Amino acid sequence: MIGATDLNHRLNMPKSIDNEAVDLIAKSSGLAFTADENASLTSSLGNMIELFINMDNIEVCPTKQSDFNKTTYECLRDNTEACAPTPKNLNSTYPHYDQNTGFFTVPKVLKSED
Amino acid sequence: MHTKTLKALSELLKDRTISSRELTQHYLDRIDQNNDLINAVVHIDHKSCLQAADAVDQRRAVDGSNLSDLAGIPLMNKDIFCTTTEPTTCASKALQGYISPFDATIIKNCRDAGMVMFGKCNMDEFAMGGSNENSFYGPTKNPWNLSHVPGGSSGGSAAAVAARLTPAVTGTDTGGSIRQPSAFCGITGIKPSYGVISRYGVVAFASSLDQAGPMACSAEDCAMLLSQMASYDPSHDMTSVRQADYDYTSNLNDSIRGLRVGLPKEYFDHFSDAGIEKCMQAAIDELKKLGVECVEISLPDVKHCISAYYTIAPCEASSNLARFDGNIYGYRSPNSRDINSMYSASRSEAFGNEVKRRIVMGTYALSSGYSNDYYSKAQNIRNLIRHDFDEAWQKVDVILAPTTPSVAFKIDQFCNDPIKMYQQDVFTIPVNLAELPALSMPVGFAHQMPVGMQIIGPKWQEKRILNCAHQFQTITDWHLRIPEQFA
Repeated sequence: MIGATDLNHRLNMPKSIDNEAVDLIAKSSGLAFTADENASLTSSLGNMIELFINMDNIEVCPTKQSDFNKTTYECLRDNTEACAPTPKNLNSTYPHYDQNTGFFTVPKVLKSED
Repeated sequence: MHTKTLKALSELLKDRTISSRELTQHYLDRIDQNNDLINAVVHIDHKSCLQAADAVDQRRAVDGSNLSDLAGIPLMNKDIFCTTTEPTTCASKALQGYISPFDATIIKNCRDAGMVMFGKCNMDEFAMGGSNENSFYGPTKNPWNLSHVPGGSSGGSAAAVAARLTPAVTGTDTGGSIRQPSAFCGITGIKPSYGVISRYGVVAFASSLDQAGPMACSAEDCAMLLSQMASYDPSHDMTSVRQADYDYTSNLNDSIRGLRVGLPKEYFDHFSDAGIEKCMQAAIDELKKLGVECVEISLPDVKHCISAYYTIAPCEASSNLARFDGNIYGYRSPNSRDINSMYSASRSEAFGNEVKRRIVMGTYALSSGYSNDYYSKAQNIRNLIRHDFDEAWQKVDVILAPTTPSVAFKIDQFCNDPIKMYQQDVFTIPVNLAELPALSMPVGFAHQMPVGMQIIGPKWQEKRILNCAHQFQTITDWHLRIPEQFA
């Protein structure tokens, strides 16, 4: 499977967009371009990088981030915690638990005539 | 029959005034007569459609009491949904001839409701585009003016409803792909909150943004459809969320008197089109007659939405589209010497220009040293936008906004300028980034083309926005207008 994860290419990714850069990105993404396609992509990708670079000027407050997205899932069930059974209260839940031995007793198998 | 709403057709089927076969045949005839003009439908099998219609008629003849309201109604699907009965190609050469071995959950839900699966609609390749010009099958044309685009990426779906080739369609909305074509074609479409409709069987474009939804003539039709399409699907889709109530029609007739409606100044202060401004103002005046209270609000960070979206979406797309390598399914190039050249030749020959452009953008943004600068930063900006909306919901119940900055533009107008094309999504993208529900409905005409208005609601409040839209449509008739050529 092709992906954007070819380490060798990623480590050498150029910082600006020119024909060579587009070739390198194409190789990483499992594509091969003709000269015309390469020229067209160099031009349009150069403009699009502006969109990425614009984000540098946007201030994102790190403390504010954790307060976001307070979605309340009212429709989901309550997540009520249940205590794990202790040897003391096991008897009420498991009638075949023997507190003295710490083992479960095998329920008696009744014969058909009983 | 094709001038009637889904609700009206449902009543006719229930009281047996018409049969599902008659209805299906009527729409098949309309497709045969009109599809060449607009190129909205890309796959249709008359025989299987009629067989499905007959099956519903037989069930109704035995006992119609347990059939759903939508039983027997034809539903056309965007070519992005996996269906077992037609090819699923995403309008791409990469998936030419691919038939899925399973139905998407949304398709299964509609089949279970007795809807007649009615072929596949044209779209932008892999849902990448806002004009339907990036399709392997050629562009779809806007039924209101054949030299204009229908919008995208669900442009074929919107055009099919506008030309009344089908009463209802499915679409997907990653950055506005249901709402923008709905606005351009004068129909109603809703993008539900992320998680309401299962994404299982929807070919992935940008997984954190993709959401399916219905498109039809009216808000009432959309509510009926959404009630069938939405479901909790934990075994297939981990982002699917259980809803308290799946009946989206129950409150449609409630009064909206006292509803607090937010008008974001960032959207209303910078109209580039006086015609759209006039339609929006008239729609707001109509809503005021119904008793809503309008409040000016601010969403200061939505201006960053284009940068954030066009970083996140290509990054996720470059990863999702890695699977189309000619190895497992879809197109395989005959011009290759070894496995590596087979990969690159298959992908290069199969993908269109816009898909390649986005894969390259995504690969670049995710490459070493950049992913923190770009992808992580874009996700943080996404949080800022979510926060803006969270603040707004303290003051208002719904938000109104224009769906698009202009009416449908001409075919080829922006094909050489992708940035200008991307900027057309400026009003729809914030909703996707914040995972909110939003509906677009027609509110008038400018330059002889339809104008759409969005109603945006808090997360999981689909019922509230459908109620508001339905009340608006009870006192207006924009949603009932049909292009003259297709009347």
